[in-house]
Amino acid sequence: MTEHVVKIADLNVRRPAFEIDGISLNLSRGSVVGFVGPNGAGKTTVIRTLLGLITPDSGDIEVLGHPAGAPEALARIGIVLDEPTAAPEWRVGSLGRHLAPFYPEWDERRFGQLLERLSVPRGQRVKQLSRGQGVKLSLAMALAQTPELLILDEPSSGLDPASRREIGDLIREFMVDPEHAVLFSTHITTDLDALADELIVIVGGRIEYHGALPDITEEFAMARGSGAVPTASVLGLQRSGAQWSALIRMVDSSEFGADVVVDAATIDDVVVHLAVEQKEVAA
Amino acid sequence: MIAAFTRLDLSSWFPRTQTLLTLAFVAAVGVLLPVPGMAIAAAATVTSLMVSAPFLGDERGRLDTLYGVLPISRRTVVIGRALAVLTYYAAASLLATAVTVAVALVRGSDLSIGLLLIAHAAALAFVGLSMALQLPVFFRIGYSRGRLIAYAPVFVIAGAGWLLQETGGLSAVQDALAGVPVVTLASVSAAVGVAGIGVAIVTAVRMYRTREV
Repeated sequence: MTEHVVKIADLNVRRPAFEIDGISLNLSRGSVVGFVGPNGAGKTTVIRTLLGLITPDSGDIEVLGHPAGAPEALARIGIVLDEPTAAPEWRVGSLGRHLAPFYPEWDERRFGQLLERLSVPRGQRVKQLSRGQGVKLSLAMALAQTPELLILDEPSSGLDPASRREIGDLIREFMVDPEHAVLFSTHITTDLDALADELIVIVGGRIEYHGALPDITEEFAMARGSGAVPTASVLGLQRSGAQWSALIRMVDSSEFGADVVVDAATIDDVVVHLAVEQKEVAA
Repeated sequence: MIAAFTRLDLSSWFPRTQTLLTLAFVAAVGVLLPVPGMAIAAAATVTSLMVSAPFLGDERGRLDTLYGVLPISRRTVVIGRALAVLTYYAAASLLATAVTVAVALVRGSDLSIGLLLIAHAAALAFVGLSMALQLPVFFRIGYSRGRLIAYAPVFVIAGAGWLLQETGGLSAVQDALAGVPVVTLASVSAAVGVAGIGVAIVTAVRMYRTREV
């Protein structure tokens, strides 16, 4: 069994609307990896490329020991999108009958248990479900496949806190098996605080940070002040009138004077400030 | 896996009201139009129009994503869908034949096996050519961008008929075909249909292999 569930080397995808620029990364078994970045940063493109839905211009991708999109790999990946991928006319309870023939490890009993636990009514048609129920259905479908790798692409956007907690609980249960791994793309970075081991920040089609989640507070800091903009090493700067806030590396914090407040950076701080910087560089 | 995919695909679009209404239309043509064989022609025409239906469903239910991440090859998806369309055609043809025979019995009119044979063979030719024209386009660019192609086969047939009528070529064609044995005519038509289905599948597999969904 390979140590890495995903290996990406020098991935390039260039399309008129988006661009992935030389991404390389490995995802290990036993890890939950948060995947964050502003809208249009390339998160969904990377995920779709992993699944074989987009053909890269160059680069090597290996998922669970197979090329991206290989049926052998797809049979072992559970995928959760922001809407269920199911015919609107299908009834929730019949989904197992439709999908089980394609997944050798489909667990119908588990599917039923998950529907009950997540309060997704079996008798409803897919088109009758609320948005939250749709996401829960997607998660139940993904977990019933008994996957090794779970990929979630912004499943929690627009969900209430209780539903997001349910998703978090199921991910934690999934990760009891050390052979499993999760790639979790989200805009709600607080969902990652209690879940993720690693964090990938992608901005403008490039990985700006990939490391252990706790390390982000050791690596980055926020400097806040007013008046003159600092000349020290600033990774991203935001201004609001005379006030400014800057993302800096923790090692550079001593370069700022006593009138500048330096404190720990959150994931949101990192994403927002790197995105601002990237926009200004592009401009 | 192909059979499993065909079942999955049919379950996503066959039970829809509009699909069942098209079958009702085939039956209505058989009952209301007194010309034998019209229901069979209607079955082929609605099948041609229904080729686009599953692709519309793909976009509405995000099934293109589901099919893209199912652990099956894209070739399986294409062949499975072609079989789903042919299953619809078989159902429509069966219904058309039953209605045609029933109406002939009720009216006490003659219904030759030769007529049924030639009607079914011509219908198969039309369906095969229609699939050859539509499946590669829909598999390559999807329903939204390719929907006009759904009407192309019907327009081509209607246009050719009109042209033959206007140029006086229709009677020449009829005269030429009159001398050909029914079995030969039916065999050639059926072969054209089967070839069309083959071309549809081979071309669609090539088109869909690198499509980004």
